[in-house]
Amino acid sequence: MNEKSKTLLRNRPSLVVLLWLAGIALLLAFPFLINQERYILHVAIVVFFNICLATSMWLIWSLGFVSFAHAGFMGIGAYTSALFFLRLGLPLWFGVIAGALVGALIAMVVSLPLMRTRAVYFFMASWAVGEVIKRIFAYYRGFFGGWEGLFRIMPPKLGPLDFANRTAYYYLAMVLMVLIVLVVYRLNKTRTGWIFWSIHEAEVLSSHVGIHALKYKVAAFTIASALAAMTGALYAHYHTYINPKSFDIWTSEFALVHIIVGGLSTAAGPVLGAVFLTIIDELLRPTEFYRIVIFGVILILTVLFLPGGLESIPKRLRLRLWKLPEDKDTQKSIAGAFGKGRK
Amino acid sequence: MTLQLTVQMAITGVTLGLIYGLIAIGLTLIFGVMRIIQYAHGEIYMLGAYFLYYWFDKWHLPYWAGFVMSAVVIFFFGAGLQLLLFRPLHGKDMLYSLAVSLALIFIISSAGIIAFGAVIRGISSFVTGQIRIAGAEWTFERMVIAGISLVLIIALWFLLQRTKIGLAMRAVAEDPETSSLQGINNRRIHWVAMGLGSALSAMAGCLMGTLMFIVPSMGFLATIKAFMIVIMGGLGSVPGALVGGFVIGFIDSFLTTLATSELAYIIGFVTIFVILVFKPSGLFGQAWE
Amino acid sequence: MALLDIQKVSMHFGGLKAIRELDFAVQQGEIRGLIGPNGAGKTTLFNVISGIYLPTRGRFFFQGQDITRLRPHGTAKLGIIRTFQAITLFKHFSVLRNVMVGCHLHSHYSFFGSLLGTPNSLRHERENEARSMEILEFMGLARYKDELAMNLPHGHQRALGISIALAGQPSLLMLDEPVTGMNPEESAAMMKLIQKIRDRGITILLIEHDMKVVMGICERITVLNFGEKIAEGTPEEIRKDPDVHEAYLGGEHYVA
Repeated sequence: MNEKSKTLLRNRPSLVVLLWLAGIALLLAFPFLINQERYILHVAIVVFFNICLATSMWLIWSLGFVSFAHAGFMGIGAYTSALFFLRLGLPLWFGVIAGALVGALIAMVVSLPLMRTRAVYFFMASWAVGEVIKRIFAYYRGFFGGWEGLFRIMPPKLGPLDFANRTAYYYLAMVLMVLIVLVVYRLNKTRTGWIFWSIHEAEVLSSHVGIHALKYKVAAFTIASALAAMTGALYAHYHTYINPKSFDIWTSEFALVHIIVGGLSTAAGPVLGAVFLTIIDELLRPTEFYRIVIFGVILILTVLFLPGGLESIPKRLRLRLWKLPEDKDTQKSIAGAFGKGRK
Repeated sequence: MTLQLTVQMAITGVTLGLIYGLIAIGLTLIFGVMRIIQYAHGEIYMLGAYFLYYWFDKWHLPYWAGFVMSAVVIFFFGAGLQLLLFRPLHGKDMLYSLAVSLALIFIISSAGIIAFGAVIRGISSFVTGQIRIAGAEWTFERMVIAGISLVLIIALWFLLQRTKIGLAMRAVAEDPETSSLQGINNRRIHWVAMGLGSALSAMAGCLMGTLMFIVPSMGFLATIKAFMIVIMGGLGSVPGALVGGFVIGFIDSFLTTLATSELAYIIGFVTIFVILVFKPSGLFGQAWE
Repeated sequence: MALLDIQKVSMHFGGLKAIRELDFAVQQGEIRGLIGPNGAGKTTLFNVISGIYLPTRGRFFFQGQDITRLRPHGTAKLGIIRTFQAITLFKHFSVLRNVMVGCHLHSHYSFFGSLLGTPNSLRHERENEARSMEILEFMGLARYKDELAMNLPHGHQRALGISIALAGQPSLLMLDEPVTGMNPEESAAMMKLIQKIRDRGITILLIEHDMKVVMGICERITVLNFGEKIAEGTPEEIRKDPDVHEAYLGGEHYVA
């Protein structure tokens, strides 16, 4: 959020659009660059899901809240879509929309009381929400399949295209990922994002300029939860098997770790964090429990020594290597003109 | 339900309540003084229990010396965590200290599985024998454990109310700025409180490990319960933590006997949600902020 | 009809009676001072009017409309905007963006328009930017528009707080200690600015401890002590009022 307003309204839209297009082109070409290697495609799909989860969670963070109910809403999407498929025979296309709607509805109802709480209390209350969601899946065995979960949630077909093919599913997950990142990025860049951050920075001031803070808090929570639910639907049809444990607090916590390691102040943070940590996670998989220890160490090192996360590295490098603060002149002029007058 | 069963469950409820109370008082002490959520509190409890297991069952050293040693070692471990990890983050966004405690969960619980193995073990009893009253079994072990917990809680209360360091802790909890103006060394109070809170948790781990069993993943469940208790009693309130401990202890004892624990969890979390939303100061405490 | 009419408002916090049965009215177009010793209930009154607190008893009206139960975003919408005693800004936003957020009520904001970047929403944002720049120029902050608010010196932060409030196009601007912490030159400049704001047709209600400022720019002054109104009148009348002298000089209160 530290970037300056001139880059917001008078940014060079063509350059931004070009970067986006280049990124998407690279993602489109990726399966052929790796010769459709199945394992690498799998990792890419997991990376996409993690990006979706972290980015949508970051949207709630932009108002100053960390929701530990996030994986729960992913679960709501997954179970809704799975049940649509298993009970009604409707493919993912219906399930993902139904999941988003059910997720949004529950998120809206829950967030009305939830958003009355603040800071520590919000964190714990959202944790309780996540636990209740998970345990309801486990408790109603007949409907949700209990701790064993639901099986045979098959990927959809579209005309001649069968998404059981991993390359096809890669593109499906990629579409969702690009959609979510694009929505969150746009929201954050425009007035909606300013309103969110203004609530984060000083809720009392924003309400005194006429911003109905609760309305925006509920809206952000609902949108983010609906996006998480869509991710859940795709997750269910990819793995073809889900159980309550896939959506417990650890999933939310890993998404939070992705955000913190990636960086908290722009939408690039969760993306970088999810990509970096998911790849590390895959590389360390053979080490079993050591990989969780290493995760913890990375998290602590980031918090203590790189509090801006990965996204702050370019700026730090610029400052270190060239010793060029971007706004040296203005800094100096302010310090010179008012350094003494300050009381 | 027979009288015998009721008495038996009540005994269990009181014992569990006292031990839970110890864990929760440690957590609430840490929150009250430093305003950080020590999310890895349960992992500290697990470490305390394993220390005693190795001391008593592996190295065959005296039980009570191990109990004390566990508290002392974990005190310094907790104080070290405060000085190394939490102090640099003091005054920054709450999210950072939350992240560190989250990382501690990852590190301690996984390192625990690597070091201790994911096997269920038990700390052997230090005393055997029992008497029968009202048809129920009153084992000496259980009575001593309840007694020790009670003594520890009273000692802590005495420390907070009657000693200089306790007074300083309460002053820091009340208003850190004023306390530092009055010449209290807030930093020292912080690491002492963190050490003390951790030591309480470790001792609770030793007692629970003797009463029930130990396993590297026992920490997270303890954290959940400790948070339930602390929320019920009010963050930062020591008497609230004790009362909450009894409530959860009795619920645990009765519901696991009479109903499915799954439903107990759902009801528990819904209750927590309602308390947090409508009475965030808890049922017995005052609001922070 | 008075612009703001406060009728028998009381605000109690448990046993503490911060405001007791307060009656007073602010007229359209005036600069009204609100003074009193520390703890007299001035900021509490601001919090009640702007909707942070619901008064224990009593009602108050703005342009004839009962606004007793409105929350801050509701009172802001009607045109009552305030600043804060403890400087409150969007610290990590640029100066310009602080004011642009202040424009919220008049920004023609629509969620989807903003998300999709429709030509309409872009045009509105350009208008907001122009309006915000105009306010920054008026307040003498235009050259810092790209600085982060947190990097501004103290006096400029106070000015930015007022700029944000002005962006909401208030009809009643409530300033809570606008010159606190400023040196004499800055404070003199701020007095001129406040008068210029009033000359633009904005009524001003102002809490201030600096008597030179209060006596210099207010047309009428209301004095509170222990939550009650003890005097009201022109600066001359207030200066001579024995009750005011008693409140400030008698007892342990310091001279503000």
